[in-house]
Amino acid sequence: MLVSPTVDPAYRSMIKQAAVFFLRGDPHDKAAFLSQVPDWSRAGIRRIFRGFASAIALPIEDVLPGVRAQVTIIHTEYDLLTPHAYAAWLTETNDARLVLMPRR
Amino acid sequence: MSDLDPKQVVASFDSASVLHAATAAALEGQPFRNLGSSALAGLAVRTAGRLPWSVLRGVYTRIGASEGINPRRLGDVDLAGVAASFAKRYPKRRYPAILLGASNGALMHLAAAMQVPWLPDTVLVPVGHVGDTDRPDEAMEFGRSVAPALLDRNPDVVLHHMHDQLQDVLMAERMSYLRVKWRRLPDAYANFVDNQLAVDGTVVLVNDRSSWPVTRIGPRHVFQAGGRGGTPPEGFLARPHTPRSDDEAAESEWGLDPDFAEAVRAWCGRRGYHYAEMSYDEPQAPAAAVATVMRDWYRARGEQTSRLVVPCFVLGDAWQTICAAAIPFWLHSAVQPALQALNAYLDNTEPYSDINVFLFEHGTNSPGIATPEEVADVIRRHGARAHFSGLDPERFPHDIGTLGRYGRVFDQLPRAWKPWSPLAIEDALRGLADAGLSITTAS
Repeated sequence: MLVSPTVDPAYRSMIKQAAVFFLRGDPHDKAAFLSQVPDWSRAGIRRIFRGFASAIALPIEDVLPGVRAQVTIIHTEYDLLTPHAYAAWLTETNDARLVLMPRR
Repeated sequence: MSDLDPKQVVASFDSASVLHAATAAALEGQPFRNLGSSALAGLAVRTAGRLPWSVLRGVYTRIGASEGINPRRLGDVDLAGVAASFAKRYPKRRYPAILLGASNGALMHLAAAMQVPWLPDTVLVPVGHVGDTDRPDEAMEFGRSVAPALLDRNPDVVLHHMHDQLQDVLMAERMSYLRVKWRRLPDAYANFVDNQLAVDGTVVLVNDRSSWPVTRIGPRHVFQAGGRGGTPPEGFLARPHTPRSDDEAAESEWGLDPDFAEAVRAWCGRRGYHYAEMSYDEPQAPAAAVATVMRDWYRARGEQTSRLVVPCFVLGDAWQTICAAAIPFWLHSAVQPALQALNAYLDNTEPYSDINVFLFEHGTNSPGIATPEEVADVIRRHGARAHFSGLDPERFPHDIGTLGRYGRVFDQLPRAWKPWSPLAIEDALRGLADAGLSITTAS
């Protein structure tokens, strides 16, 4: 099993990720977005940026073609950094199965 | 002079272009607020919607009219460019099916569930023209005088000039509706299918066989008095100053051009694509079958299926509907025939507990309109709670602000519980056929 973070190539820079993550927020649910602030505080800025760096370091579209097992891509219905279209494209290009998790 | 930008050519309130944009949003996993316009536009609509109707009417008419292109520039309308813009709008990936053809809000919800694109056969080109709305004969002559430039520039289209002074009176005061239909597959659509249909994918033709009496102006030009809604064709034809009909043609907004249908069939045969065709006689017809398929799809994964959403015309959000595991029953307009279809569906399905209604308002109390009270009565008779959040029934049919409010209502629908995968094409086609829609296939 491969676990995220995975990021759309369009957002693979520290600045873009930070801008999207901190400034744009979740337009569907501002309250939920703000509720994450304590978690970010606990994680600390260094861990957050390490997470960003690891996402940049893993171009998953290069990894998946080498996976011999049946691939299932599990994705939330809404994700700032990994848009639905990217998850759907990964699914199609890897003959995978897409499973969407409801946003609750 | 250079060609007009495709965005300038197509009306932003056109059913085909809005339903196309909503489908594209669903394929990107995005909500479809403000009919695809910006948040600022949504705010402006909500704010303007508070004005008294006596003031708002003029604003609405003039803003709508501002979309009308100068008739002298019809020779600069490149519909191949419009087709290219439609194809380009979809995310670049291969799809297990591609829908081509008639506009239909119910089937667009199904396309969203299948995560497949739809490319329309028709588009509305609004042309600036101030005239007496009760003189369809004069409107027809205006069309006759300006259409040649458009038709000469675009040899692959037929023109259906529609004049509906009952339902579209506000827009008809200052513009003419020149609706064009492609007679063959535009190159951009053919390239899109070639490049983005998955191996073993299926081309699905959406074939709405709606027709309407017309006055033939030329081989590729007809004039249609009235449009599908609350008044039948004879109701329009009996009005004063209405040109006599001398032919029957595909209904301008919903009907599929028969030449286009034949061209797609032949092209798919030559290319060796799997081909399926959904056929029906009027735009309301697929709604019940789609609702049945969607309900079965949700039920199969263990969702509650007690919430019905009733989108209307272009007012809806397919992606948010699916994310809420709500069943869509689309109304082509807020008119009595559509309401009767909803009533018949509710008569024949398991009861719903809650029904959210999103009535589109044309801004006029036209004959045959279905009011919120009448819709609520039908819903209550079937034991469900009717919700009109986002719509002020007191202001109907002038509550234009609802165009900027409906998105929030979709945001607030209870969300689905279960993980899901896109609806399989085969299951969708089989389900539609089981529910009574005509489905034919060819390999």
